Amino acid sequence: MKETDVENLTIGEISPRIRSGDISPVELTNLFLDRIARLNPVINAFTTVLADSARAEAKSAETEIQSGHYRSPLHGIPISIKDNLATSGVCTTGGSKILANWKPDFDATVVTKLKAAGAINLGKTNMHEWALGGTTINPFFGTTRNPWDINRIPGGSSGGSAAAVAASMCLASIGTDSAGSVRNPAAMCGIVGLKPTYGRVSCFGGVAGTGAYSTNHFGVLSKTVKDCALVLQEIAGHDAKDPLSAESPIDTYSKNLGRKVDGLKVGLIGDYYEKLMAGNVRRNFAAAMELLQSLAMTTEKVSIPHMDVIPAVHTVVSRAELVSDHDHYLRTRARDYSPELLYRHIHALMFRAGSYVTAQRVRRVIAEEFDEAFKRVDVIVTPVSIPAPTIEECSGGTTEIDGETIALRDARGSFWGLGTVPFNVTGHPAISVCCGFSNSGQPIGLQIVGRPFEESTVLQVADAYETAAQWHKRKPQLDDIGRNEKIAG
Amino acid sequence: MRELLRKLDAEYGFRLSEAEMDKIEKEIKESERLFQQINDVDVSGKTPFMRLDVKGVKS
Repeated sequence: MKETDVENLTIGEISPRIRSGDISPVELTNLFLDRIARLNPVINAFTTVLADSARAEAKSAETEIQSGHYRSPLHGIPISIKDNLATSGVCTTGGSKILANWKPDFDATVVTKLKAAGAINLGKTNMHEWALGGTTINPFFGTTRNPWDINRIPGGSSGGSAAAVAASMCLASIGTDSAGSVRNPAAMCGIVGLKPTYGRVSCFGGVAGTGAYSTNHFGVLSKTVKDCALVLQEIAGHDAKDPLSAESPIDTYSKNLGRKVDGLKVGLIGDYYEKLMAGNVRRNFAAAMELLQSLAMTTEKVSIPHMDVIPAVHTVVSRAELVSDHDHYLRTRARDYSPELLYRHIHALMFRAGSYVTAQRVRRVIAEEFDEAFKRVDVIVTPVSIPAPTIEECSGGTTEIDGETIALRDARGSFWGLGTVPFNVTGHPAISVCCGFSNSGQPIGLQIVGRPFEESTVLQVADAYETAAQWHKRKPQLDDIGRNEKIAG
Repeated sequence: MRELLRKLDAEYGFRLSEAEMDKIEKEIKESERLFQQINDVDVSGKTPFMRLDVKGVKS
């Protein structure tokens, strides 16, 4: 196998071959490390590459498998971890200057579980500063570039994770999502991104201040829905170390993959998402709905009367919770934040306590409206966001999408966060799968949302769509990248 | 608003310039209308929604 051959590998396809001894975890890990060595100087997806420990882990995995101790479908599989999950003895920066040299002496629970499953950690991935933004233009660790067009952002805040998976620098990655930070970069990089139900995956070991307490989730970025299910299986479950983790039993997440979706009902939210669909997003979303209907799924419009209030609720709740985490550093190292983030925190210091509680009460109103909707439908399907803007457009504040000019940011936050924040506010499981490409060749995402703890249904519908549409077969052209040029972050 | 900003500046030691305070004030003003949406919702009888319950049902 050559380094370029890894582009077409998926966990689902190769884990049986690793188990049978047909593929060597050591050889596989070396191929991915070669690919990282070639591509990362340009893409800048990794902040830390763990070549030596990855090779040691791969050797150990190989020995174990050869001796008949096969741990899980992730045994010997090269993955990566976003740089706001604690990794013992390894820099965990949270994308911040303040924690640039922090090496925790413990692992996040998800990291512990992945180690127990036998996964090989290739390194830590770049992210937006403190995970509080969606571009992964990081003033301290450089800009991560979108593998589909290196002049564009990969989305964020888990932009490094998404770019690493899309560029086949690993087979899956763990990200965090408090406003869409798994789903948006997944959509912009043309891969799969799952935000599970709130509490489904332990958040113990997440860097404090990189996700608000009541809106943050750890999630999976992968090449296919099946791979996503395989990773979720290994990281889901209650964790006594995380008081916010859910006690409900985990499911068998791949049990519904390949099953027919006929008769399942899709809910469609009207006005709110209509306003978010620019250019080809509308065309691709309509085509995706037609495809789901061709699979004998039925559709029904659902009403969420307070949908438009969600961005305000999210802003008040998340910023108030976050500024509590940042209080110490705001008092001691305020100028080690980017100015934009510092100003945002100062604004949050001025929120009234009553506003926070009122926002949480409005949140219940919204959650009850979704409860009503989910009595009638099995999933809700929406677009995720606009295709990736260019890095230059992010500086200018607007983007052109198929002839339409879109403001990238307003008081509600980033434009592309508006499609994803509703399910950080409600906690429902939500996945992004690729539903085609813009005229300029940028991936576009489709969001599938399920009832609480019904990830299996979300994955079932996503898998049915992916299998029928086949967009996941299309890969960014990276053969010439990194052979001669090097782009400074 | 400027007075409150100055108090925070003194308490936290930000050393904000007048131009920076202008920027923060501008952001606050832009957010006011957004946040007003929250106050316009009838929340009588509604308790805060903090998270999905650990047992797997809504709290």
